[in-house]
Amino acid sequence: MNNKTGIFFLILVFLAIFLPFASNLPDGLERVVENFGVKEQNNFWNGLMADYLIESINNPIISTFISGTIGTFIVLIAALILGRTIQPDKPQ
Amino acid sequence: MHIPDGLIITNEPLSILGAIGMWLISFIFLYWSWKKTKITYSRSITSLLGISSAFIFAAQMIHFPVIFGTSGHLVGGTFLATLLGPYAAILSMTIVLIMQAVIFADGGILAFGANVFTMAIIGGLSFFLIKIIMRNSNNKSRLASSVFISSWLSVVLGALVAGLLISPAFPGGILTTVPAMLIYHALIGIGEGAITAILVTSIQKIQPTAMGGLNLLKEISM
Repeated sequence: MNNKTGIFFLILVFLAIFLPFASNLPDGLERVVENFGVKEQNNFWNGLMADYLIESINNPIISTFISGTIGTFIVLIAALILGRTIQPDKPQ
Repeated sequence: MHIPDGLIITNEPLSILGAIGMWLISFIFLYWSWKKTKITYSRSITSLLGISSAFIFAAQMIHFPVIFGTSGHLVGGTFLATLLGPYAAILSMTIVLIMQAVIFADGGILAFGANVFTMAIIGGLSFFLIKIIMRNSNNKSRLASSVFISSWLSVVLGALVAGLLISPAFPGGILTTVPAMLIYHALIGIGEGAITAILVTSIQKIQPTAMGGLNLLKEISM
């Protein structure tokens, strides 16, 4: 499992294959909110790429794929930094 | 199951207490997980931590249709627990949740403690249910079914807690949110259980050494 770059690209391939088929239906929590007609209070933070979309890209699948790629990369780097911080000198 | 701020904070003061309480509880668990991660593993888990967190982030983006016009996605808490063990799994999922909340506004900031509890902590702790069901068995179908049951239960328990926490926002309160959350997530959980069982048994077959969490099953005392 040392080939992190290879696996990172495999994850992107996985995203590219499955994203076009991903469901746009509300998830369980959103469904419950809709069923009871509850209005959410305003959220004070709207993120940098809300709804996994990049505003300047019109195609929703490409937009989601690119924001997903950015997110996957950031999570990978953050988790690697976390690992290094927790176990600074453990053998591989 | 990511709770937005607009659902956890209502005009009722009780809701703010709930959000702060979940931050505190989650913080204690995260501190415990951090300490345990430092001492539990004899080898570096850094690569596996990076890769599995990245995979779970991507996998959570893929929604699958359930029924009644509802979708679900893999949460992956139990999956992370089988790969990383309970402690690092909690930290791994927390990293995913931080990025989702901060960059994608998927899950709130005030609701972050609640989301860490319902997905990262319950998911990571489901490891111990696998351990209870497995005892010291090496049976493959027993492993698959214990993973299925644990991941199903982790989603349903998470939904139960989420249902309690969002109830102040609903006119009908707990009596509407809890049953509704349980029904939908009992169904979504079947997807979670099936995907997790398939992932775990396939990785076990292809790359058994990667299943650090499962290898910990026999070592960690409860």
